[in-house]
Amino acid sequence: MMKHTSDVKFEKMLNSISYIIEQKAPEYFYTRLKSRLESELKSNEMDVNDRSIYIIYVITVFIIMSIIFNVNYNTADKNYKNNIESLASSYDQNISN
Amino acid sequence: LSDKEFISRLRQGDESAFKYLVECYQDKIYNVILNILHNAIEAEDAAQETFIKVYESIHEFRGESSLKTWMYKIAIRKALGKLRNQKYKERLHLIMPFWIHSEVRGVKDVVINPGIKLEDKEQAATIFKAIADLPHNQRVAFTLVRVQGMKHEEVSDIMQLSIKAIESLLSRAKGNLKNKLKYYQKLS
Repeated sequence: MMKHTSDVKFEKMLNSISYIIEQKAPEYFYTRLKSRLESELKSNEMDVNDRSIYIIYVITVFIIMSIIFNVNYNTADKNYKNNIESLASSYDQNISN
Repeated sequence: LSDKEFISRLRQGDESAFKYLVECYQDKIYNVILNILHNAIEAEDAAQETFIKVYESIHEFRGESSLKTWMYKIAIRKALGKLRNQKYKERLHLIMPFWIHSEVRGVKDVVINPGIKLEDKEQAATIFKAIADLPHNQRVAFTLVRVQGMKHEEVSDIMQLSIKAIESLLSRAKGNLKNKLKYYQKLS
């Protein structure tokens, strides 16, 4: 009996939140939404542009680095050969042998 | 204009179609979120995020459910995201009370929906306080059914759970609420 009474009381309490009058969305909801949407779309566009600039930057740096490395490697190799040749000639030796 | 035509216009980025969609659903979406979050500012923010998501991902809508159900799903996800964020901030505030802004302290304060009848306000405040302490899934299911007055089938579509799972969530929510309300009554 006690349990039944408390159940009824509980249900009565719950009913107080069951018939809420629907609230209107805040005024100028669409205007605010539109400006937010436009700014988000703009920032997304910027992100895409930023990303492509970043990719181009990385590729350019990679190409420049590989050119520098290649040139340096060739020069170093040439210098090394020249040094060996001059050393060999100073001792009157032929390195091709 | 049929639903298919309307959706294809939305997919093409037609602004007038989007405006019509917002005007049709803004109150419903705002109310669902407001009843879950109990915070008008956060509710407006989440409602805006919902419509932005709808605009951006309308091409992903496959028509398996109605557009309304699909929008509600997004709205619930956004509301749950806000709740998780609030919880995270509360925890952070516990760890670093001086570093986190004092606004966070008021997160659990319940803002009563202005749509509640005056004579029910006090009781409703107690119930909403108890609802705010429920686990997220129970909170959403209970709000959609008892506060929004949705059918179990509709809630099962929105929450992507079986009807049995929804009923189980509701009965657990009711049990928890009962205990919490008893506790509050003892306190008062």
